[in-house]
Amino acid sequence: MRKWLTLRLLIVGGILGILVPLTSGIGSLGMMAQSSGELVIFSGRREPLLTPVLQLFQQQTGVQLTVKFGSTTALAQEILQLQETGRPVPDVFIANDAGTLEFLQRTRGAFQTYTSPQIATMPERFRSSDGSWIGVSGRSRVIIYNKDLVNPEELPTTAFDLIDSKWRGKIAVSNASDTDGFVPWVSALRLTLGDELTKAFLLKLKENQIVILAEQTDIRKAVGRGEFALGLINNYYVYLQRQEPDPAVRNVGILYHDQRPFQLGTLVNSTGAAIVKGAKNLQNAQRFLDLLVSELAQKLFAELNYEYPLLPGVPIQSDVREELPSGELEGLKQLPVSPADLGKELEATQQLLEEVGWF
Amino acid sequence: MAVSARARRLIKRRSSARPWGLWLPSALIALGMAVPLVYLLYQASSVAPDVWARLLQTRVPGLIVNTLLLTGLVTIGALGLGLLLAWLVERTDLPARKILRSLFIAPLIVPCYLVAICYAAFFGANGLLEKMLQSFGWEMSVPSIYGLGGAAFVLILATYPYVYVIVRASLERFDSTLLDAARACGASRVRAALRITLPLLVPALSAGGVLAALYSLSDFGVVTTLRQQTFVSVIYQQLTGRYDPSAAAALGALLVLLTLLLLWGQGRIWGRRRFASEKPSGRPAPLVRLGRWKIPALALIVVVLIAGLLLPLGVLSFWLVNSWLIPQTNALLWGTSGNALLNYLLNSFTVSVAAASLAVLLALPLAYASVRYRDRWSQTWAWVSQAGQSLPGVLIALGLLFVVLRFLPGLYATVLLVILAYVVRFFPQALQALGSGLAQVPACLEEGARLLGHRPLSAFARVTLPLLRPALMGSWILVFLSALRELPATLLLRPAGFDTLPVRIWTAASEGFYAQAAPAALGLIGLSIPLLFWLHRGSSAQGSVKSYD
Repeated sequence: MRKWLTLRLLIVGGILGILVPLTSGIGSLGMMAQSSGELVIFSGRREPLLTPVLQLFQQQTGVQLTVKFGSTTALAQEILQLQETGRPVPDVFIANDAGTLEFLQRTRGAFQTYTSPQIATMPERFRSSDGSWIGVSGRSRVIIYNKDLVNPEELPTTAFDLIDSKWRGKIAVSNASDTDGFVPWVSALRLTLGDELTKAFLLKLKENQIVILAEQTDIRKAVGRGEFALGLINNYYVYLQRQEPDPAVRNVGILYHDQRPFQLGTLVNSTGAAIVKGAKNLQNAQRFLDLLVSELAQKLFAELNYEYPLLPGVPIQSDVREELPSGELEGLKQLPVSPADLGKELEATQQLLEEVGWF
Repeated sequence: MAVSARARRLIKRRSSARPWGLWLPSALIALGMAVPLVYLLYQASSVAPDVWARLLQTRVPGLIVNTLLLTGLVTIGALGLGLLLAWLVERTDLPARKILRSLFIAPLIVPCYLVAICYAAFFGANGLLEKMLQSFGWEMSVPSIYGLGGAAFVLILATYPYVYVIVRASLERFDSTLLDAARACGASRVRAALRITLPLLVPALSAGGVLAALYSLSDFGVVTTLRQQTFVSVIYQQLTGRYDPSAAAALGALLVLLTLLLLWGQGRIWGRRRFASEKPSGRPAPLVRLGRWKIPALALIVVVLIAGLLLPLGVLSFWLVNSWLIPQTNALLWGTSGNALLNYLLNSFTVSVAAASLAVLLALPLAYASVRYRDRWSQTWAWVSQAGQSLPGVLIALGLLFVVLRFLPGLYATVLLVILAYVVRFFPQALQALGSGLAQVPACLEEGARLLGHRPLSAFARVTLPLLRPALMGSWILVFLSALRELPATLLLRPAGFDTLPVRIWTAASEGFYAQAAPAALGLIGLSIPLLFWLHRGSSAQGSVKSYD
């Protein structure tokens, strides 16, 4: 019998190795379907940014959370595939860009509508018109700069000055997959300036040897380290960089560009959340959405992640407020587009970026 | 007399009748392994012409240049370094050769994406190196680690051990009488080396070179970390950043084409020049005296060991120590506890065990068919099933995704899909290890058992299988180790809530939470050391198995 031992071990190992993860996988997904104590979330927002809110929800409700973090686009694709193949879908999708949610709802009808008195208190601009998604937190485009490398007086006042040869090779920016930062800004430029001018501007930037990195986190880190003098980035990354454990890389400044008279203004965009069509834990999903726009969660986003709270009455974090041109989000000169507008332009913008060779 | 008649009958039956019970499963397994590749090519063929045109105009030319430059640099570097180190430990009077012999393959214990992460943090602007220099009072900026040079350097460190192992084995078997003959005929030392030693090493160099080239073609972690755009990194970006997978499929097909060209080119360049010494030399070749070259040789060795092994390990340990000193808020934000870490470890462990067991089980019939029945079909199946070998993990994930979404939607976003990807990707490793193990088990033993009245399966189980145990374990560990460290396919295919150690290391490091990445990384390394040691010991013990034959 000992002769068979190796083979039997192999077979048992193979079967066990497949059954264990399979049953646990099915088990967890299956249980999600039945028990009311669970909630499955796909999050395109980063783990450290969302964890405090998740913990808050767990404390309040005792609901068991299963979360998958990843890039917003990859998770969106996964949700679409799951819906097409009839597999269990997550209940809630949190996107780092509300435009993506609008895009998914428009092209595939991926979400179900939900409104509540709580949600109705959010400003209309940061909600979908059909109730399929809600904005969660606001952000604006800014220029991050390394204070060791640049004097504030030398700084450009508009993003269009970045084509100046003075900045050749000294600017970092993110690529065409960065759907919550660079891509919506380009969409906004296209909507205000038209495709031709936008394209020309991007080509000039490329000529100026702008360096294209994969993510905004890379930008803030690279500028903090002094690899680049400037970076085009979302506002809160500046404050996150100032939280780095290493004091040598914290010396970064924030510049709200295009704020002067006759300048275009910057883009204010929002993250968003939606309940996925086919969600099994509908009630928990609705509770979670209500929590996201509640004062408590809005405060967490504002205080811990330095974003703009969208719920009226919740104060902007004090450091952020201090550096905001007028101390108020309303005081910021903004490009006249809403997240919903940006969602409609997503694919066209990515196409344009590809034509320009933005990679 | 009766016995020998039966034997003849048996042998005749073996050579004429096809053993369907073996042949059919082999064919099915082989075809199964090739399905993702074939379907990927099929998908690429249905990509709209305007997508192709756009890709060929914008991305492809630069990508081909980038990818080929990197592959070329890595191949040349790995060949040079591997050859030099093998020659130093085998043919010179270098001190401490015994220890160095094993130490040179030690860099394999650190997965290359970890090396890249450590390098980026060490050599990067305001990184650990600049800090160290500053603490000595030297203000200087280190040349950038990002881009082609840095990526090539890290990949050379990751691939030279493969060249080294193969070349060293070839040097060990080297017939030194040929060199003596050349010298006796008046050839100078250099001429003898060029005309005798080098041609004899060509097969080993060619095999090692292909390994290094394929490795750098399919690398994901290093090029992504060090910002060098290659086919693989762009395909990954396309897959995770866009809604239309057709561009990814097109680029994937081009990468497959590039790989095939490379393999074909290798066959063309080296195929016709095959020199082999028939028998190993009876006496060891005389050692070359290094003389005053000893110092530079030792310096080079120190640099290689520091760069490939000590530096990454040192950086990881530094982070580990730092993670105990880090402020509480960071840990709170991240929410990673020891419990979670254990969970990732368990996830890694189960998928790797499943993949290794499955791969070895599936490889067994194919290996048996291709070793024992050396007919055209079994060789074809063995060849077809190797599709995964030359394919990057990103492409295997892409191909599997296409197949699963089209035909087996129930598998989408399950752990089973991750396991399948591992099996397809690492099946060739299992097959090759099993095949070489089987070749060393003499067929006559099994035939003896058949003569004594055992059925084929019983003869195999009672005679061959026990003798095959070292090879079985070896191939199992090989696949297990590879699966344990797999990154790109896992990133693309894992279901919600299922993170493995490499995925965790990768996400934590890309967020810059090195303190969180370090324990997982050191755990992964710690887990692979005993297994790699076992493999290494096994491979050097194979000689004794062979002498049994």
